[in-house]
Amino acid sequence: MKTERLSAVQVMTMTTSSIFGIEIMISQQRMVSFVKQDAWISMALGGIAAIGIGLVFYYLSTLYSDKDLPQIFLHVGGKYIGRILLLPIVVYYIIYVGLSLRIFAQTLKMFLLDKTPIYAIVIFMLLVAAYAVYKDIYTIANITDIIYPLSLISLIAIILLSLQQAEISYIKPILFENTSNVVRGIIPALNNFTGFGIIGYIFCHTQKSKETLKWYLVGLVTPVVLYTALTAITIMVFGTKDVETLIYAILTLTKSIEFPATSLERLESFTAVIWIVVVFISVVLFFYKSTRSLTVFLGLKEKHMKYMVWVHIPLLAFIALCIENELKAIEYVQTTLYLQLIISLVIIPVITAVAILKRRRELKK
Amino acid sequence: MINNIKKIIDKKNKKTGYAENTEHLKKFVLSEDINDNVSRLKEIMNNSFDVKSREFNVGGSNVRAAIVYIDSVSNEDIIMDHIIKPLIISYPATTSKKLDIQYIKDSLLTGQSVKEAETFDEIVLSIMSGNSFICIQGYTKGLIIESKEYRGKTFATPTMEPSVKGPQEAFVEMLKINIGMIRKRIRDPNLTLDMSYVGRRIKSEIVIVYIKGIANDDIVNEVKRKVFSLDIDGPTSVVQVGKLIVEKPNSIFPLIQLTERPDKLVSSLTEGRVAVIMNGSPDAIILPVTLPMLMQSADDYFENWIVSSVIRMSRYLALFLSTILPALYIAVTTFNPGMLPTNLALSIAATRVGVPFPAFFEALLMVITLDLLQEASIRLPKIVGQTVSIVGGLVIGQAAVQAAVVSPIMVIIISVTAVSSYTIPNYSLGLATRIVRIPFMLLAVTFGNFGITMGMLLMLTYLASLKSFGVRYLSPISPYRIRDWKDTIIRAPSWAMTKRHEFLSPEDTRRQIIKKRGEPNEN
Repeated sequence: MKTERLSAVQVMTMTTSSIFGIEIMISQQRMVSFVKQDAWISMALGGIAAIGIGLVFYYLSTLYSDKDLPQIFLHVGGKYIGRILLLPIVVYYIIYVGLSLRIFAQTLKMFLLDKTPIYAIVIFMLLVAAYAVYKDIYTIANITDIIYPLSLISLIAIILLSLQQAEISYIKPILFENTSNVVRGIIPALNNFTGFGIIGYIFCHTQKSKETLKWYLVGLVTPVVLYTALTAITIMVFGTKDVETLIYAILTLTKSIEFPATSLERLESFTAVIWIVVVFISVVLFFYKSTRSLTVFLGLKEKHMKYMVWVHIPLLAFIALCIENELKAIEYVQTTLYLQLIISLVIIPVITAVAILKRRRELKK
Repeated sequence: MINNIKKIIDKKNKKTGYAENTEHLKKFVLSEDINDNVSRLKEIMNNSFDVKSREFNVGGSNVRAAIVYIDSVSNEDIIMDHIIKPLIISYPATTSKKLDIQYIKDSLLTGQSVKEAETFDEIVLSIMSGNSFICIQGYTKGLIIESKEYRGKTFATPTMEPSVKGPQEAFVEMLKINIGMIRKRIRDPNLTLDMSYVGRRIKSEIVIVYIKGIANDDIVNEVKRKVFSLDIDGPTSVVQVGKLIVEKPNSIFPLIQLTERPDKLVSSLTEGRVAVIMNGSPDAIILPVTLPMLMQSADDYFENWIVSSVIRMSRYLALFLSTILPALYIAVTTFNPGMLPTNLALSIAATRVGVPFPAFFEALLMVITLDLLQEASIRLPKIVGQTVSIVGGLVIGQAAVQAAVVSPIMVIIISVTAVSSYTIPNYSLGLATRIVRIPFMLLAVTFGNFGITMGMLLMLTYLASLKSFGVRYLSPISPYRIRDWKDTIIRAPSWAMTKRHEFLSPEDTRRQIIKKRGEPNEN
């Protein structure tokens, strides 16, 4: 039987799905509070920066195409330094999954399940996500393939349906005495695109073809365009002052859509259901990254990764449940930005540079 | 030597109570004495009453010969006219004690096939398959002559997979006739049929059918390896074989495609799939299988492609509804009535006034009743089955509503669920939806729409993880094989389907060459 490989198109679906996550719902308030009416420009610029970092991840993965990111860390950095450099990644992914789960559960409680305890939602979601990770990366890729069009179509539909209420004057004046804020907004905007690192974990499972880079770029550009459009449309519908007060601006946006068919008068309920699916796949992909990183970090064998999935659950549940409320969770997500910046702007470039040198030496030998 | 055989059999019988198979007879060859041979053969077959033997002189010579066969599976006319008669009458007079075996084989026996045999395993297996065995005094080689009797129905119409248009022919219990049905549809010398006897005791003739040059070698070899290495007493149906060779035997979703239609099997073979048929089984299994394949019906290909596509899409909707409609009703009425438009929510609430049960128990009661009715209508004779349907319909419908045990809306929900499940072309897949319906209802009553969504994701994960002979169960929807989407949820026109399914990795990818629509192909 032929060895299974991920296709180039699956790289795209997994990259986009990894980026779509809780940020879809919560990023607008943060960005608008910071950059005001030009938040969408910062979002676009942050996206471009993310694409640049994503390409570094891609290049690093191609240097050792049979290894995933944690393995490359250990190969390039050695047993000890490699592990020290890998530690922030392990910590970041674990915290990120925990926080995502908490924010997700809290939002769900608010919109769909007002009487269900938070822990029940968190644990249920965690178990289902763990089951997906317990299977293999190809199963996760197949689920992503199914969910991808659903998330894409629903986000485009929200943007298009909101256009009828949009007021272009809300995003004006563009870049008027706000350039410095726009530039400073790039950093928090970057936090919305943390999923770009998925390539480091899936490249070694792909069919090696020239198409991979093309589809990876499509996978990066799609969320950048959609996030920018969503930020812009949210400002155009509500205005900057209102958006600053809306924690879940997109859910409020869907509430405001006046759909011509009466049977869909409660559009936000359907959006919430789609959002569950979108967050789920993002959590699964981060969960996979976290499990894979931890497995390599602890020096466990490949076959033991399955057990690591279940071992992970209490840790993730603890992170998700020990936080006081969702505002704290959102605050912590923003704090993790610094860790992500260290990883993306310091650790990855350093490892890439060392990897290039080491690779050259290996090839010479 | 005979004593040796006896010892071996006795030893085996002591160990297991009886001889397990004919493998152990491999090392024992025929004796020159025909009486020894005949008595040994009868002994091996436990002196069963239908094991017949007859001794006679060959032609004008004094050389004795004996024939052994089982009359219940052999054609006695063939034995008489094509074996015994030519040997007694037509062999030239001779005083020699040695006979010309080659002459007998080539010029006297007019049976379909004649082959030499010298070991008991081969002889016993042939006799049990309906062939006749001849041994001649002074020779340690015998002849096996085909004399099988094919008894049973020779024609059937599809009952599980009926179609409005197209062929109305179905497989029967006889392997030879089934192979004939395939052969008459595929006149390609590359059509390959590999036969082997499977099972320790039943020794079923199992044939693996594929078209060499189309079917992927890896898949063919994997099917052969798994089927021919089965070490079981013996399958009584090809379905049993299928259950034993799939990767996940516990999966409630069918990982083999069962068909009774030769046209469907032939169409699958031309796609590059592999079929397994068995003597005595009126079905064939097709491998590998994917979920979209199970949603296809023969009628899809006899109708206009637009009509077929719409019908096929409605089937997917039916699959969705039959799985989660009761759960969705529970979730919406119990947890999330806000999802419904106000008027509809009020209308549903009004119909539930006076119903003593919560929505979950109401739905559970109805789903269980529906399952019982379905089961009863299958098990009972057809005439009584109709009565069950009427009684069931009245009880579930009118009486239950009038007694305020269930609400009218619940009757509608259950009816739609039942009708939806009947539209699923594959019976096993329909059963799987019945099984998952109740867990979905439990998730709905516990977590509402969130529970249903998570249940769907759990099921999706499970389905995405399933494989059938290296092919992912959700192929070609996931992983994306856009070229193959022409025959999944929609059915593209025939002229557009120029290539075979990519996910089956066929050796020959091109199905047809169409240069211009509606014009005959020049090549």
